Amino acid sequence: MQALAVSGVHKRFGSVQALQGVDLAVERGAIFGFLGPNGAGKTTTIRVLTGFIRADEGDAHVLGMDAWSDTVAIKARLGFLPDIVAFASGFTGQEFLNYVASLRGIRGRLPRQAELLERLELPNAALRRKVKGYSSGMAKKLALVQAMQHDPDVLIMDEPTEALDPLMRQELFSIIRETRDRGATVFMSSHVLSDVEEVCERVALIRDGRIVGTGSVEALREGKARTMVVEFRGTPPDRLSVRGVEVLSRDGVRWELAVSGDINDVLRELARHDIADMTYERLSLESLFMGFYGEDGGRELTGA
Amino acid sequence: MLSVFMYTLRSHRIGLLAVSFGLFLMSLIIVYTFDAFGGLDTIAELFESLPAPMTAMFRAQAGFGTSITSYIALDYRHPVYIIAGLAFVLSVSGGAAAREIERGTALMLLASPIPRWRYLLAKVGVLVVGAVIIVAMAWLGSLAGAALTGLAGDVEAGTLLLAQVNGLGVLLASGGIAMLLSAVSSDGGRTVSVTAGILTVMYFLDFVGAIWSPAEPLAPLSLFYYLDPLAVAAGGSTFLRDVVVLFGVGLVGFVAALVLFQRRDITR
Repeated sequence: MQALAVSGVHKRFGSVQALQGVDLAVERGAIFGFLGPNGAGKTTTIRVLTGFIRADEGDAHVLGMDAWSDTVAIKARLGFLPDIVAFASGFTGQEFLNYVASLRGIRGRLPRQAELLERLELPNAALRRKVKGYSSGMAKKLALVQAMQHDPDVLIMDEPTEALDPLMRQELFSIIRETRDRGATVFMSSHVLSDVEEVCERVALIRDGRIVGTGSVEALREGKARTMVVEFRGTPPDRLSVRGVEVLSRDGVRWELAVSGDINDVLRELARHDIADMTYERLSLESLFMGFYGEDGGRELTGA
Repeated sequence: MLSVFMYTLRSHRIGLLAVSFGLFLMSLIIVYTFDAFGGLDTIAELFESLPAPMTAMFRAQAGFGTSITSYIALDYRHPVYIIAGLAFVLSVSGGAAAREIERGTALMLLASPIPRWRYLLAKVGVLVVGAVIIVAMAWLGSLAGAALTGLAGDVEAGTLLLAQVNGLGVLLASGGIAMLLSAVSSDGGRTVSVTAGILTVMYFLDFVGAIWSPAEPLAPLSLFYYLDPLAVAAGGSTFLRDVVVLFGVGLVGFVAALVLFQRRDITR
């Protein structure tokens, strides 16, 4: 059963066509990543799903309910982290959490809230302070707690890792996995590929308001070149005889390679030489999109 | 919805206290200094000597009356009363939707399972309650001034209350317009500016209509045309028409704001 279903959604703002027939399907209990550069349509899609924006055309459903007309019923089961984390003035951190809970008809401190505060390292002293003085990282943590404190069935997060340090990102990923393990569905957008790789089982890529690919993270990588920088000790070879490797540049003993073939073949070939240093870079979102740019419409990736 | 109401009231409490106590004091001082102006006859003479534009500002072209109640009611049309009351109204309505969307603070709150119209209705509630408190404090200030100066027996409290109801109508009608603009906008500053501009034009439309006969037919388009506390004090017949128009404009504005806020895209 699908937790989120978007079909043929179009949205125009004035002269800007923000969404051009977006199709998405997210199964219940999945952690789904929504990748795209800034301005691609991620936030607009999320706003359609959360009932903040009405689609011009097409359908959007959350837990089988219409995202626009049934938005109140959906929100009773939804946790939402917006892209903009801004708090109404005058609140302390704890007052804000209580206020948001009260809008859901919940009074008092929730058990889940205490756990999240501890794991995201928001101590009581911080909660007693006015949110106006929070750093961007603290503000993001508080916003994450408000999104998850009521144990939602669907958690939609727009750029959840932004402003978090690496340790907090890892903690957030653990929380997201546990949320999934409890049966909830997690949908998160990002423009950072490594974040999505780390925690999402399936992803969709959006560019210029169109889904350009959906599938597993492994399938995304398939056929995409990653950059390897090799520094030889002593005299470098004349060439590398291995398939799927292109030499992008040679600067004396330092070579930059584009690797699209089997990494094992490349390592075996390199092992025949004396290597001083080597780096193998993660696939960047830019590189990933290069493979999809210009293709018409979306496609299901192999190995999904 | 009670949470939204209480939070909104809390966030506007300083402004509300400042305006309501300010108008309380102003009303008190106006009565307290009545004798210092030389009593009714001197004030009547003073008004007769004023140029027409000045008396038009207070809608006292036909004289200001012959009672202390008229003297007090006259001041309920003082520009300070109007500006102070409208400052509160614009502050609440500008922040009600447009400023929250502009700043992004609405997103986490509107992700709660309450219909948007109910969220905005709580803000409308604060505006209405605040406006009632403001006019009530101004009225109480007048009564307190009368009590302090021993004029309580000469002051018609009920008549002054009706005059303040007339003033409440202007605040609610202005609030309805402001709330409507706020409900469809994503820019709090622009909402307040545009509303202030509309109200300023209306104020001068009423003023010009009162002193320049070719502009007279346009005056009824202004909310301030229907603000006539002096007529209330004089037992005039336009009170019912005035409050029906003003409360009607307010009601239509509020209802339209709730409907449009429910249907709009929240795009910031």
